[in-house]
Amino acid sequence: MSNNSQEYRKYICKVCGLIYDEAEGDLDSGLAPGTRFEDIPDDWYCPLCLVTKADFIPLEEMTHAAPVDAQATHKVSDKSDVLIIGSGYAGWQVAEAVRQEMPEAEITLITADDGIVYPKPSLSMALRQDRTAEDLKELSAAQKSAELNIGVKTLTRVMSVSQTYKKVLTTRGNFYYDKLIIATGAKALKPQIAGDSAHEMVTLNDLPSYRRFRETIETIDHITIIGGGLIGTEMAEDIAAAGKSVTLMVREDQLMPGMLPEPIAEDLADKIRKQGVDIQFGQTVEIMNGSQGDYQLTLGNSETMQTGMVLSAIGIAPNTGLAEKLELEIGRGIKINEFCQTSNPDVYAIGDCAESSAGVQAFLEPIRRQAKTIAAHLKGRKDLPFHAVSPLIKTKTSTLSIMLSLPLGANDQESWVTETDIGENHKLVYKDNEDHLLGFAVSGALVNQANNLYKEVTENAA
Amino acid sequence: MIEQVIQNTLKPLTIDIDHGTYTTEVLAELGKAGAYTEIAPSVSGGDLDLFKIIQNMAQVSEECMSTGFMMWAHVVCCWYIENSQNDWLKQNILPKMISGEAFGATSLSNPMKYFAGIEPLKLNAVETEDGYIINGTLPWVSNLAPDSSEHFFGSVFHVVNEQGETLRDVMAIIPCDLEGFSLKQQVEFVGMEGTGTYAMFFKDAFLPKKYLLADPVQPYLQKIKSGFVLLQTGMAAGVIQGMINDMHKSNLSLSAINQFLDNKPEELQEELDDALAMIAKQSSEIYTPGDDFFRGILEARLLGAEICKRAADSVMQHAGAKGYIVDAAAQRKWREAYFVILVTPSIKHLRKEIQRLEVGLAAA
Repeated sequence: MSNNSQEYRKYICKVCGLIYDEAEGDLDSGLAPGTRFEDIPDDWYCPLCLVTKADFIPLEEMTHAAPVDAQATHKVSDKSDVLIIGSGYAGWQVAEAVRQEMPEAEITLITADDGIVYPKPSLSMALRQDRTAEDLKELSAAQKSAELNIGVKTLTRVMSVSQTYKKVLTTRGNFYYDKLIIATGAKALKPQIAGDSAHEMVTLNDLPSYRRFRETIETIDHITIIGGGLIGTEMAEDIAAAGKSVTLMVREDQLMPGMLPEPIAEDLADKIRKQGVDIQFGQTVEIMNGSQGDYQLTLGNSETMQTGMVLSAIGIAPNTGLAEKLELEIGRGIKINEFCQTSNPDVYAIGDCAESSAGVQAFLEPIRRQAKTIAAHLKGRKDLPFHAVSPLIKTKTSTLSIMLSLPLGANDQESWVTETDIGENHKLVYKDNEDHLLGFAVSGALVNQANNLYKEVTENAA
Repeated sequence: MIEQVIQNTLKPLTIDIDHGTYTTEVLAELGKAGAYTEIAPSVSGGDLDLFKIIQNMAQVSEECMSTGFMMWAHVVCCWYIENSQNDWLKQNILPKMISGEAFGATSLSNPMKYFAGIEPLKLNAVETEDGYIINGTLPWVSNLAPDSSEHFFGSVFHVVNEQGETLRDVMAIIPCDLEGFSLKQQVEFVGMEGTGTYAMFFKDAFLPKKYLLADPVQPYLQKIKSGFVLLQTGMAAGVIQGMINDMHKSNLSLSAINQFLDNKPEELQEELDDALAMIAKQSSEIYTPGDDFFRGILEARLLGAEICKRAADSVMQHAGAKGYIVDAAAQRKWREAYFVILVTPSIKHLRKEIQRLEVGLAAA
């Protein structure tokens, strides 16, 4: 606790919108209340999205970055040097990186939604914080396009793309490109179930769906979430914390299967249950009838139940439709090389829609590096290849702090070795035959070891 | 068979129809040729094949979109009956429509705008024990003939109480020879004139309940709406193909200078083929419920209008001054194409609706 004479300040993470309040510190990573921002070690990570300190700016500067009345100043050209499809985090990141690298390039971004810039990880916490979709908005598409001096076309869906003419066909005309960047993200999946209202199941994967969700939830008391993975679990906690009654249907027999070691998953389940969430393991929803606010569900064990809303959180699938049209190589996602190029050298892919040699990684961390790789490569540089690393994950579960890093491609439970096991404080490690640390999972007070463990993991990976 | 009807019956009439001649001759011949069969499994005993109907409509629209539009009005009326629970209509009216002995139309432009919050519903009815007494007027409904016992159209009206307060909305088929119902031709359009387009007046017109399509109307509308909108893409696809054909024709003599133009026929053809591949897929899943699917349908319809817009400009430029001559195919198709852009749902209406479905907000 250094200099106490000055008022405590707040800093915001430009990536995810997390606010670091000097008054509160960040206990999970060992920063005591009162720790000044300048006293935070440089290798500290944003506790939410895990970028470094360099990505934080004073909170008051953030509001300066968003002039309320900014209008799009850059005319949208129908011929671009670089055409970006998608306005999620990946789309805007790559737009920014390319603009930095190529100040003169004609850059156009096309998006089917309204292109609002918002911190996506906040969707898992927004309800308990009572933040509306409008509160989460950082910049409008027009503001962001003015800031980057690029053309932006919102509410414009790309219907097809022509390899011959190097153009995309949209619901608002044709746009020609020299280089194309696909940043179409992933769609939230829904389980195939029977019933008259199965199509009314909702998902929560972007700002528009959150806007609808917020509106609907006002009049609803009970919500059923399908899927006990990271997102489903975070949502269950968030919605329960906002005062709604929640049932979480988990097909498997633990939370976050394939990701979280069993002892931590069990403690987390206990804590979430105490918060009032009804967790049903080994359970599925088979039939959905009725209407919003009053659905009747038939479960896998033939029991029935009433619920006001069904939220699917069973996972995501990369959007690869345009890549199919371009006959690009596709695995689970659009295959990219170390420069994020697809099998067509004029076409790049970034973010949740892309599949690198390490598979599809639906996290923010790789996107920032991919964006820089693409920008450099467009400039003709090959000195900044992208290599996937295993990200450091912090779950947004407030009942139990959890941080972990899994070896790329690992999803077995057998290899975890318990090192510490005191109450809710667990430490499990994942090592290779030569005792190298490849991954870890820590919970409770032990999350303060996460940064050091992650350093060891990344050193071993290198 | 359909091609023969187009060549032998329609082609000699195309210019007259454009000038305002309304005839049921072509629609009747198309019925005999089986152009409507796949819309009505209840009559044919076969499978529903919406894409086949769209292709037939496109084939006709390639020659004359006025006729393609009447064909749309006709098959969409068949679509209403086919999707209703009304066996009397299915047994007594629908078979005649499929064989081309009776003709269908639709007055859903106003209801569509009403459901989208653009304008109020213009027809009211008081319910009696065995029917409805309807009052109100509707502008611009097509493929109709005054006092005809062969013409029918689908319509939505408010059921009101004696104080005029709306109780609910219902949908029904209305025969043109209904007592208290009259048609009046009020304006002259620059294109699509020979489509039997009238303003309609209901003055205490009594409609027996045997004509009822749906009460309540909402679940039924959810069922038919994707087909209703997607069928319109047949007109767009046809007129675009017709314009592409005309551009190729112009290029026989003008290709050296036309190479300076944008939106070349080869490029438009690729766009059209891509759009049709998407429409084929949507047709095969037409009863998919939910907003996501319907948004895709609206986007397909919007894409049709957007390609029309560019093709309409391009066909004129490819033709040059020859396209500016009275009765030149290029300017007739240019006028027809604007119908796809302007008629319900227009580009602006589609954009409003897509915005609502996409971001969960109504347009500002």
